[in-house]
Parts: sequence; C-alpha cells; structure tokens
Amino acid sequence: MTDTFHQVPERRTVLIAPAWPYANGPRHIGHVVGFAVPGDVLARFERLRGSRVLMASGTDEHGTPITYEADKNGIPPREFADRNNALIVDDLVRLGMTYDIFTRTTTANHYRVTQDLFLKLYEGGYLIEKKQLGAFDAATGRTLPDRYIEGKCPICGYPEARGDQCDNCGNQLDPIDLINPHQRGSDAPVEFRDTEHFFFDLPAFGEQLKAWIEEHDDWRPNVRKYSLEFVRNLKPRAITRDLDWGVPVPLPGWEDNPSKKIYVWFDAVTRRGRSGGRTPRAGTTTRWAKTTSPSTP
Amino acid sequence: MGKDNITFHTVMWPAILMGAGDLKLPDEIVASEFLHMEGRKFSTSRGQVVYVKDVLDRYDADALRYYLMIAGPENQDTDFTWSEFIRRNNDELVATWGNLVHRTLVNAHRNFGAVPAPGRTSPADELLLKEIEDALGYVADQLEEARFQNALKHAMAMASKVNVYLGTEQPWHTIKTDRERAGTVLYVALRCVDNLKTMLTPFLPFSSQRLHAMLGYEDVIAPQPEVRQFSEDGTSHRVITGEYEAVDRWLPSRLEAGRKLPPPQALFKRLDDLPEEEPPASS
Ligand SMILES: [Zn+2]
Repeated sequence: MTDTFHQVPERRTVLIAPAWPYANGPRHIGHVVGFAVPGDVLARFERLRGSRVLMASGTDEHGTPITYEADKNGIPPREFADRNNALIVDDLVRLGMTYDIFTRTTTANHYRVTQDLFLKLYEGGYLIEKKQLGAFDAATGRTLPDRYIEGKCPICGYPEARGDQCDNCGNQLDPIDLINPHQRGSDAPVEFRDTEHFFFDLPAFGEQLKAWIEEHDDWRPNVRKYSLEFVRNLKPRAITRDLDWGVPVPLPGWEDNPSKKIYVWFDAVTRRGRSGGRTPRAGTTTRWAKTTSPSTP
Repeated sequence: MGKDNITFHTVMWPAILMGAGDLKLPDEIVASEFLHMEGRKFSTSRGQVVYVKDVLDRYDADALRYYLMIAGPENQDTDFTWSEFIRRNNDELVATWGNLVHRTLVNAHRNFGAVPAPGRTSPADELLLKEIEDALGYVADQLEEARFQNALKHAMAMASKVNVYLGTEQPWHTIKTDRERAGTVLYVALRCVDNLKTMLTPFLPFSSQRLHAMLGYEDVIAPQPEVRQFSEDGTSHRVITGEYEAVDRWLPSRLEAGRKLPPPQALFKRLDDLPEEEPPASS
C-alpha cells in the first residue's frame, strides 16, 4: 500500500542506448538477441521500479553496404533503406520493444546533430585534414571499400583475393597490392587516386581514455580487457569519405561537394548518445545495452 | 564484429564526447558474445539464419524473448537449436511457470471465485512468502548489473519452489476437508504468483499483462509500443514510440482477499516436439 505521507524519492533518469540496427535487411534472431531484447528488458525493469527511461535508437541507413545492395537491386539507396526500415520496425514492434523513440539516420534532425558534433570537433582542433590514396569505381567516381575489390594475391597467387585480405593464404592485404585489381563480381576497373579527407585525432585522447576505462571495474571483464588492448594502439581515423549517400560535410568547399560525406561510423556513433534532439541530463545513468549485432559497418 | 562494436562504445564515442567537451560519458557497457545457429555462425549469405518474422509468424513473442534471454550469448557464445527452443518452452514456460499460474488460478477461481481470505498461516507459508518477496530484491540487483540470465533463472527457480509447495499442500484435496486451510494455501500461492509476475514482466511482457488481468487488476503493467507517423521539416517518417509510464510497481504483492478473479486462461502454448513443417531455419 502506498502511504500518502511517504515521500516520493526523486525519480532516477535512465538512458538506454541500444545499437542502431543497420538497414540492410530484416532482423534475424542473432541481431535482436544483442541490440534489442536486453535493452527492452532493462527499460521495462527500470520503468517498473519508477525510473524515468529514455530508450532511443533507430535504423542506421548510410554506408557503402547500403549503396552496394541498392545498386544490385536497381533502386536508389533511399528506397532500399525505406524498405528495410519498414521491415525492421515491424520486427521490433512485434517483439514488444518499448522504444521511446526509434527513428532513422536519414532524418533532418540526425543530419543536424551529426554536423553539429563534427563542427565541435573541428573547432576543437581534433580533425586533421590530409590526403590518402583511395580506390574508386572509374565509371561512377564512387569510392570502393576494400572488401569490394578483388584481384590476384601478390603473395600466393590466389586469383580471387579481396582488397582487405586473401582468403587462401590468410594474409592481410591493401587493395593497391592486388595484381589486376577489379570490382567484386565484375571486371569493372578500379582507379586509385589521392583524395582529401578529415581524420579524427583519436591518439589525442589515448591517456584520458585509458584512465577512464581503468576506472570502470564494474564493466564486464571481456569488455574492459578488449577496450584497454584497443586503446594501446590508437591511430587517427578517417571521418569523411568519398560517397554520395550520407551526411554532407558542414564546411565551405565541402558542403556542396556531392561526393564527400561524413563517414558512416561517425554518423552512426553520433546516434548512440543523442536522439530526437534530446540529450542526457546531468546525473543521468547511461546504459548501453549492446551487442552482438554485426550491424555497424 | 560483435567485439569490434564494443570499441564504438568504449573508445570511439567516449573520445568524441571528450572532444566535444560537454556530454556525460556512459556509465555502463553491456556487451554479449555471439549467438550461433545449430553449431554454425549466423550468416545471411549462406542462408544460415532465423528471421524474427518467421519465428513470430509461428510462435508467441514471449517464447522467443524467453529463449533469447535465458539461453542467449550473455557471457559466452551460445548455439541456437530448435530442439532447445521447444524444450525450454515446454519444460520451463509451460511446465514450470505456466503450470504454477494455472494450478493456482484454476483452484482459486473454481472454489472461491475471488482471492480467498487467509486463515492462520503456518511457518512454511511465511517462509515461502518471505523467500519470494526477497527474490524481488535479488532479481532487481541482478538486472541492475545487467546479469539477465541470473535474474531470469532465479525467478524460474522460485516458481519451481512454489510448485513444490503446492504439491506438498495439495489444496485441491484439502478443500474437501478443510476449506480454510485450502484458502490459506491458495492465498499464499497467489501472492507468490503476483510477485513472480512482477519479476517476469520485463522478460515476458505479453503473458505478464494477461496474468495481471487474471489476478483481477485493471491497469497496465506491460505497455506495448506503437508505430506513429512523425513529421519534421516537411517530410514524414514512421517511428516506434509509446506511452510508457514510470510506476512504482517493483514492490511486494499486497493482493487483497476478496478481489474477484476472472476465469483463467492458459498463459503459454505447448509446442510439438518436432514441427510438422520444416522449421523456418533457412531460406
Ligand atoms: Zn594469398
């Protein structure tokens, strides 16, 4: 029985930020066991004991796997993403996932939030502009990810080695090393040329990240160990790409360039902390119900 | 790839927040290992995959949620098999939890039509009531730590305990000779069922809401999401959202005697050991 004179404690606010499923098809149970069901169990539990919950997520709809699949199906990327967003939404509603908001990375709001964060990092001096060698589809000018390039392995001679590794000898490769490089599944040629990009200065945060991870002895041991290993060897990470499907780079000279976009990992990672324009308040507990989903490209 | 995702949460995103300078870092990272399919890794390209839609076209969402949470890859890679899915549904959801609910509600409804008024309780009654109430705290602690399997296994173990109690007390026999004692036992069991319902609601929201109504409550403890059209900057897209109120419900049951009980229905469906058709394992 609730006592009328009982003082109601201040409600705790809990942000639950499950991974954003990649809009490349309907969900299988290996996906939802990671990103969806545990998050919903936590959200329902927290609400039952009186916490205010914000569980926010959405479909992650940019990136080369989407444009590649869209091309294969002969439809524009947006149509391909629309189709898969609808399938994923149905799966999640039928499973009873109580998202406060489940949106998409192709909304105007998402573009704004991503660009704001990009500018903050830029103004803070954490984005480095530099040239790198990129692989392109000679016909469309579109960038080609390593694993969409095939050729002869320079080490073992296997004719169908991929740009990132040879499945025959197991060696890690660079696309430029391949003999007679061509696009996966066709003879279309690959063009290598210099391209200007922004890199996120990850090493600048090495010490701070290490200290922060070490502080968290409450994390699962596997998570902590893997993260500490990762921080030991940080490299600057490209934050823009040669793409026509994505969030435009909010800088003069870049903004209107139809083939330069913010790299999908940054676009996607941005969503995990901010949704629908709402941000976690001070004193908020943030939970990251994650993940087996092989959804982040 | 699953482990690669971890660094998005523990390294990339925190570094961005540090760089942007004004957001709070996450407190807790929950990561799990891989779920495999009949001994092999899930793979869409090899057709080695079970789609959510195909499962839900045949089975209840709670059966899938239960299986994924109790047998999922929380701490180590696990293997999905249809025989395990069916076994867990039949032996655990149906035979343990469903059976406890059924025996308790059918006997209370048939003999009293309402929550019976308890007479004098025995030490065994009190012990059981206390143990199940304590489980509310234990399950909350486990969920707080994102130890889902510990939480769920404990709740199910408690359900088994109440089943043993009913088997010992046999209120369906006692009712013929000692109506007051039978009423007391059923009252104790109903209180336990009500508490277990609270613990299981996050895992089994669909069946828990039905059970909530069968216990004579009229409010919503397990709200469900809905799809709405959301307009912004001249375009419109579908979003999942819902009205989910924060409630103070994670509290010991105070089920009052005399509350009217509607006719009970089965909570879960028993599944055939071997589906007649090919299970939706691959396309
Ligand atoms: Zn090779």
